[in-house]
Amino acid sequence: MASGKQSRKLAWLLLAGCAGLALAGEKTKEFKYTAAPGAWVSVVNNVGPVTVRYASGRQILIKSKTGSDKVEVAAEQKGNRFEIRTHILQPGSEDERRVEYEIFLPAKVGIAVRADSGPIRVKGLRGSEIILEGEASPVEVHEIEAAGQHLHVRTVSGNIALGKISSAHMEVRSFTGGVSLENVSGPKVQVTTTQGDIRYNGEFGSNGEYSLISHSGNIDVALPEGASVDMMAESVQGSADNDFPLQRKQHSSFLPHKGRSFSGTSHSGSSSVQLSSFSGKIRVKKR
Amino acid sequence: MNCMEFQNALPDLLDGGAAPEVEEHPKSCTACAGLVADLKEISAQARLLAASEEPGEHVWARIMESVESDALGHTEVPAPLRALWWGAGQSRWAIPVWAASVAALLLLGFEFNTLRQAPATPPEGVAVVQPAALVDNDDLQLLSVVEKRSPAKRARYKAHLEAVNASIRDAKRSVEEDPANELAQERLIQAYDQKSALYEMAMTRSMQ
Amino acid sequence: MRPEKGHLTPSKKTTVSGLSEAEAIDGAKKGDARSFEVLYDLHKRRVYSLCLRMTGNVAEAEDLTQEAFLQLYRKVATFRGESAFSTWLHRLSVNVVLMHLRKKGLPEVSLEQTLDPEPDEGGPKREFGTADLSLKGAIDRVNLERAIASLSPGYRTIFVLHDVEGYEHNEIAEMMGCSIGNSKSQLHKARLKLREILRLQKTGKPPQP
Repeated sequence: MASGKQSRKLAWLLLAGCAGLALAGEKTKEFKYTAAPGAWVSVVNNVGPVTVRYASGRQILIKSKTGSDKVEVAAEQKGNRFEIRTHILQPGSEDERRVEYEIFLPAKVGIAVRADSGPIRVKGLRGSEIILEGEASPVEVHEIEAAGQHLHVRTVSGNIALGKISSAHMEVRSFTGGVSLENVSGPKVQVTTTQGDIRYNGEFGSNGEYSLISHSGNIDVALPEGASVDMMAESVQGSADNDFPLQRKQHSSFLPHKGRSFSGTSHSGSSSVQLSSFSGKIRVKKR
Repeated sequence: MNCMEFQNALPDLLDGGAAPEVEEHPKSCTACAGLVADLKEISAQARLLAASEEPGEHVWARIMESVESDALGHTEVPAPLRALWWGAGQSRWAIPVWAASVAALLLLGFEFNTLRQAPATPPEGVAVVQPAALVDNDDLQLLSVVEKRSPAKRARYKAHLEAVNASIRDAKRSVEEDPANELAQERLIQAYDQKSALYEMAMTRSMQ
Repeated sequence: MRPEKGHLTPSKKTTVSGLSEAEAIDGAKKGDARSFEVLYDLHKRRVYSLCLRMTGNVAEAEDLTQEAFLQLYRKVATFRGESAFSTWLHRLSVNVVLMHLRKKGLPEVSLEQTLDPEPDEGGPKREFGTADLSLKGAIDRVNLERAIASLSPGYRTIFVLHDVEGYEHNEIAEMMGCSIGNSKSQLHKARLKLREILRLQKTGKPPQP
């Protein structure tokens, strides 16, 4: 009957309303700052995603959403540094401790994010110094025009995915997380893992210094025929296989050992590429 | 086919991949047939030799000694290598910028706690009794700090410490074996950097 | 590896301590000394026999066995089970031995060379066999071991790796940094040499030229 339906509908609405009230601890906050040159934003979070995106202009915008009233977001401005931090007021479940951050960052503003778990995603920044540290957090960084600035990423177990990054001084570390690099180039790209695998797909451009090192992880590299590289690869206890055309170097103290190490140049050898795994497999192929 | 030709093809025959005419020859040549039989017998008998020898009892004792001495004070940086490490490290990174990053982290509250707490050093000789571990005293202190924050994480950090210590050891050996090898040097530098990164990550979280 | 040698799955039988190999591997990864000891007991003969045969010397073989298990202990955390544990450990041991032989500066260990390790053998010789000198049923373990021990290190290495330990030529080529063809030809020469030695042992006379 019509009235029956209506009262049921009302009951549902009331329930939904109550459910909304039950998440009373959920709070959103917004912080806006005008950034002078050399500004820095730092975010320290426990659980929850942290997303950083480019915004034009000079306004830094930070949005936060807390999962319960067991956590609180505090912001502090110290001159040109803006510190946003998640404070855990009482112990709680992961959902209760969860805080989501969304940050909109203008060009040339630095960003440092430290998170325990919950992905860190950075996209589109320009000329920013970037320091990202996740314990178990997966980290994704894409479309960065670093303009010579630093990009430091490190995790303990979170996987790291880096794509379309140029002109950066990069230092990337993980223990058991894997690192993948797609079209990443810079004056310096240093990737080190203890057990995680490393994958690089790109040109090794910009006359850069590239170093992919792992202890037991595998290293897989795919590069196009036109890449200009001076490459050295060695796996002490694993294997090193090369399917990419390289010319032997004339004067080199590096002694290749079939199946375990190789070296050579392609075209003018503008970028130096070091691939080294202690016990993992190294595979290089033509893209 | 004469004997000379047969003997040239013999390796393939014994491998199982020879042309039919090769197999024909021994049927009419006792000398070559005898040769084939002998070589087959040698291979067959050889197969039985695998795992036939037993090492002396003392070998195990020596292995355990090595494992234990491994576990103590093996991550110290020997002086000449230390120079290599710092020297190379400094030329690699534009000091001001990296220092700026560290300074930034400090300002942002990423305090680098020192480990000058009451040391949780195991008494002398205890390392022998515990399940043989690959961590030293500094590492144990770090682990006790981690444990205060989260007992569950201690085991994971212990595993990471063991893995990174192993990578330092392996890199050290490579450098010792071939000091001119650039890739080995780089691996050693990175192994130490990994360890300090692990310490930083473990320590900074303990403040939350 | 040829199937009759390795086992493809960890041995499920329980050892004296009650741990299966799979359990011992897990325990060893976590640093448990008892598990490590179980793995030692399961594999010590294989490793030691290999070291002994490749070096021909008990003291060296013991040192290398020690080294192999020490490396196992350090690296077991990285064992991810893509191959059989025994295969993995075996390769590790072979590497330890080869590294040791290389350090000793023995040129024969690298089979990739145009020079024959036995320069007096210019090429295939005409080999003879006669019925009464057949080796069939006449090779006992002691004689064979002695014969292997008297081979030059290069021949000994290839023979032990292929005929005793069961590695395939492509695996040997990869480990030794030589070509498959090289591995095959060196193996053949090693076998011929052994035949010569064994016949000499048996008859006191070398084969007729």
